Amino acid sequence: MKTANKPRTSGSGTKRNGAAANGKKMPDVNGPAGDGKRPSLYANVIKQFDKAADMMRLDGNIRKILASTMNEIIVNFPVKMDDGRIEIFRGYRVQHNDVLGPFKGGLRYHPAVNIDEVRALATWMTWKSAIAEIPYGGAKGGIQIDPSRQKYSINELERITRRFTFALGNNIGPEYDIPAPDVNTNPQIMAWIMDTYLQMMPPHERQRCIHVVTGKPIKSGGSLGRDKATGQGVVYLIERWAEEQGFDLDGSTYIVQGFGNVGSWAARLMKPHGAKMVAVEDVAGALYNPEGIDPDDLIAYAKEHSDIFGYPDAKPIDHMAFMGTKADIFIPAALESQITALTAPMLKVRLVAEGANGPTDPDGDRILLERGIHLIPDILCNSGGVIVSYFEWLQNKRSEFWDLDEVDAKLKKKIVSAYERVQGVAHHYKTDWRNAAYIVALTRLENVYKERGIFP
Amino acid sequence: MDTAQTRKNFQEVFIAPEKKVYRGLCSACMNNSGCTFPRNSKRPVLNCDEFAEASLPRMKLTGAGVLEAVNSIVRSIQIEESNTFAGLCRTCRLNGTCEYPKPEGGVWRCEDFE
Repeated sequence: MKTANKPRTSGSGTKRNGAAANGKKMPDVNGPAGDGKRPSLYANVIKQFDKAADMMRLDGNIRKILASTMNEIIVNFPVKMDDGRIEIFRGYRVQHNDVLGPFKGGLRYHPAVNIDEVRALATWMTWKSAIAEIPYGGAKGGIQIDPSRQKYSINELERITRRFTFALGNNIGPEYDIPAPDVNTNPQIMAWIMDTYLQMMPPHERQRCIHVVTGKPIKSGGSLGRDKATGQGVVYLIERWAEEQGFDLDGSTYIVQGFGNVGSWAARLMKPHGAKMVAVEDVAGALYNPEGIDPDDLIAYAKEHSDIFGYPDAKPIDHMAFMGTKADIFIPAALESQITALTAPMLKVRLVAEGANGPTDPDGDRILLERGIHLIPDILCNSGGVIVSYFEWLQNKRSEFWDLDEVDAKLKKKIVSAYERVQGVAHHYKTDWRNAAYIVALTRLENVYKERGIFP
Repeated sequence: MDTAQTRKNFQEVFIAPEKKVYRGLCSACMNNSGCTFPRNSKRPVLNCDEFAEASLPRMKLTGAGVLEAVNSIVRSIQIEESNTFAGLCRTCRLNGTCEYPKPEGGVWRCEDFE
C-alpha cells in the first residue's frame, strides 16, 4: 500500500466490472504529472524551497531529505452506488515530512486531484506548520471525484468517504496523520471519516481517537472559532504590523480581494478597529465606495444573492480599477497569482496581507519589494486555520472544550510570535519577508534533524 | 475529422462561455464561466477561497441531434487522447469508449483488452 516517493501503478488483475457499462468517466484534466507538456507543480515548489535553502545554506543532507516526500499512498477502492453499480475511485495521501510531529493536511474531493498536485500541497503544509511552531508535519490527500450533487447522492458521498477511510486504514491516525477539510470537503465529511476510523479501532480505544481528524462539527468534537480562524489570524497580524509601524487602524482604509470565508471574516474583523473597506472584489466583479462598504451588510447581501454583484451601496468597478484603488492595506483572499508584474506596479497600498495561498508571483514580489510595500507572506499570514486545527486536536486529546475567548487568545499569541520570528530573521539575513518565512521554517526543521540524527 | 477542428467544436459546444479552459480547481467550479479574477489558462489554480461547489462544465444541449453530435465529438476526442495512454490502452480497440479509470502508469492487465 505504501511506496516511498514513487506513485504506485496499476497492478490489479481483477476485472473491473460495472464501471465500463454505467460508469461516469472522470477525465484527469491535469493529465499525468511530469508528462512533459506542463511544468510539474511539485517542481515549482522545490524551486521556492531551493531559493531559501541557498540563502540560509541549509545542510546538504537535510536538503535532500526535505526535497522528497516521505510516503505516497494511492488507493483504488470500490463503492456501491445507489443503483447497485460498483464504481472504482482513486484516492491519494501524500505524507511529506513528520519530523516535527504527526502529518497534517486537508483532503480534497475534486476531479483534478493528482499525485503531483497533492505532493506540492503536502510540502507547503510542512513549511506552514514549521513556521507556526505547531507540532505537525505536512500531508495532503484527496479523491479524484466530482462530488456535485448531480453526480452523487449524499448517501453515495458518505459511502465513498467511509470506503476511502477504510482503504487508508492505519495510514491515518490521531498521532500519525490527521486529515482536515479542504476543497469540497466539510465538517460532515470529517465526521464520517472519524466515525469510520473509530469503527476500525477496538472498542476500548475509540474514545481516545476522535482527534483523527480536525475541522469536525462542533458537537462531534470540533473547536469554536475554526470557521473564522484564517481571517482572524490575518487581522491579528495586521494589528501587530500597525502597532509596530505606529499606524492607527482607526480611520484607515483597506481593500479585499475575495469575499469567501477568509476575505469576509477578515473584512468583518477589521471593522471594530474603525477601518473602512473602500473596495472589494469577488468572482462576480469589484465594488468601490470611498465612504466605506459595510462588511456585515455586504455579507448579508452576498448570502442572499450568492455574490456581491449588484450591491446597491457601492459603485461597480473593473479589476484594474480595483487593483489601483488607493488604500492603506490590501488583503488578497481569493486565488493565486493576482499580484504580478502587471498589477504590482498599480497597487497604491502600504501593506499587503496575504490571506490567500500564493497570491503574489515572483515578479510581483520583486516589484513590491522595490516599491517598499510591506508584505506579510501567505505561509505566515493565513496560518490561523492550521493553528486552530491544532487547538481542536489538543482539546480532543485532553477532553476539553475551550470557549471562544480562549481560542482567540491562544491564536493571537501563536501567530504573533510567528510574526516576530519572521521579522527577526528578515532583519538578520537582510532579506524579504517571504524568504524569511521559508528560512524560519527550514531552520526549525534543520535543527530538529541535527538533534535527532538520521537512523541508523 | 481534423483534430484541431474537432477540439474547436468540442470547446464551442461544451465550454463556449468560458472561451479558455482553466485547469485545476476552476475546471469544476460553479463560478468558472463568470469568474472575473485574472487566471492563467496554462497554470492550474490549486487554492481559491471563492471556489464554489463542483459541477462539470455546462452543456448547451437542445435536442437529440445535438446530443448525438456532441457524443461523436467526445468519442473522437477520446480516441485522439487515447494515443497518449500508456500500457495496454495504447493499442486497445476499445480505448475510444472505455470508461475505466486510467492510472498514470498505465493499465497493464485488463480482461476487456481487445
